[in-house]
Amino acid sequence: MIDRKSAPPNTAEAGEILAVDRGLADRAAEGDRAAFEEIYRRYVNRVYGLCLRLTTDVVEAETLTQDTFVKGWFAIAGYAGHGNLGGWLGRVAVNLWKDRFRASARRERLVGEMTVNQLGDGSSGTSADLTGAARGSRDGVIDLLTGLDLERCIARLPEGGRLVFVFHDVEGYTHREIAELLDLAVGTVKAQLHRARRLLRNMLAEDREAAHGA
Amino acid sequence: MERNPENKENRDSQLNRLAGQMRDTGTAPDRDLWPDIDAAIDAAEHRTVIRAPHRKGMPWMRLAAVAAVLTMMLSAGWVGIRTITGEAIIGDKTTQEVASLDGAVESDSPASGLAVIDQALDELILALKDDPENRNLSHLVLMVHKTRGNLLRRNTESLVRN
Repeated sequence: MIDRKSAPPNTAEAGEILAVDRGLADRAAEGDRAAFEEIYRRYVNRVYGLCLRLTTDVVEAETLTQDTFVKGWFAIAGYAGHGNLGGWLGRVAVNLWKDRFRASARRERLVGEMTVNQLGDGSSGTSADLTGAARGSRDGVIDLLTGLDLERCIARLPEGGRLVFVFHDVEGYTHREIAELLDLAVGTVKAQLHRARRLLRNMLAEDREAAHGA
Repeated sequence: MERNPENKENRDSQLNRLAGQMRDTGTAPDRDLWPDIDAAIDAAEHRTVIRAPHRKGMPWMRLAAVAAVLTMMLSAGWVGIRTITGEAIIGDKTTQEVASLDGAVESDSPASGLAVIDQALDELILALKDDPENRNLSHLVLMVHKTRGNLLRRNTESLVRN
């Protein structure tokens, strides 16, 4: 997976990270478990964060994280050294999640939810939505918020919007990749993303106002 | 809310920046998952070693056939074995063909024979778990198990005599 969203601090540092990743991956591919443990230490937070966003369940996220690293151990020889190892592990996690997701009833619920939301403009149906008058006064507050605020708000999104937002804005997948992943039309993905972003902005604004009022 | 497209774009880019930060920072799990991962890798590797023959054209059948032939040889002796074909065990393979499949049959040592039989039993039981309805496999397991018992008994008797 290509990390599209966040540029590394500088080229030298990014190159150093990549070199370390490659070295560790090479050693792990030769059976060096200690090297793989180091890979785990470096990327467990990134992988677990992704798993938590996908599943919204601590136990499921832990299981998915473990399975990701177990699968990663056996597949590490396939890491070609392009892009950072965290992104590669993220792709492993998503593939595992996808297999389970497709086999579960959650997919049916998600497709149903998206279909229902598509009937309107996707602007109704959750407590996170605000009235037009209230929304108008809440522009331009996101810059003061933190990733933790956003994390909490993502967890409150409806499942369809949450998945699309996580895949697109957090993980850097394209609309088409997401459509294939979730078996949805590209247009549906775009609409869900639009809706999820709007819900998030509103939730973040609400949170901030609540914090100021407290 | 989306009256000013420029303002909207600005807010979306702020959201993107936050999302990118959030991804890179990640979330620490409540506990260290490494011990479980380490153990799971060990278990998976162990399974891989045991199950590896399944991926190579079912050599468990070859091994089982060798074990069966070996047990018959040890039970009935060479003279008898020449007249017994392996057809009942592995279809179109004769005893000689089966014997040529693996060097293990060359050994007439009870200890090495027992090791081959044990290995074959493990493989057969695993195969039976994958295919519990397979009557030939069930029959093989029973037969090899029985002859293993006979071999052990004979070894014990031989040791007592000596």
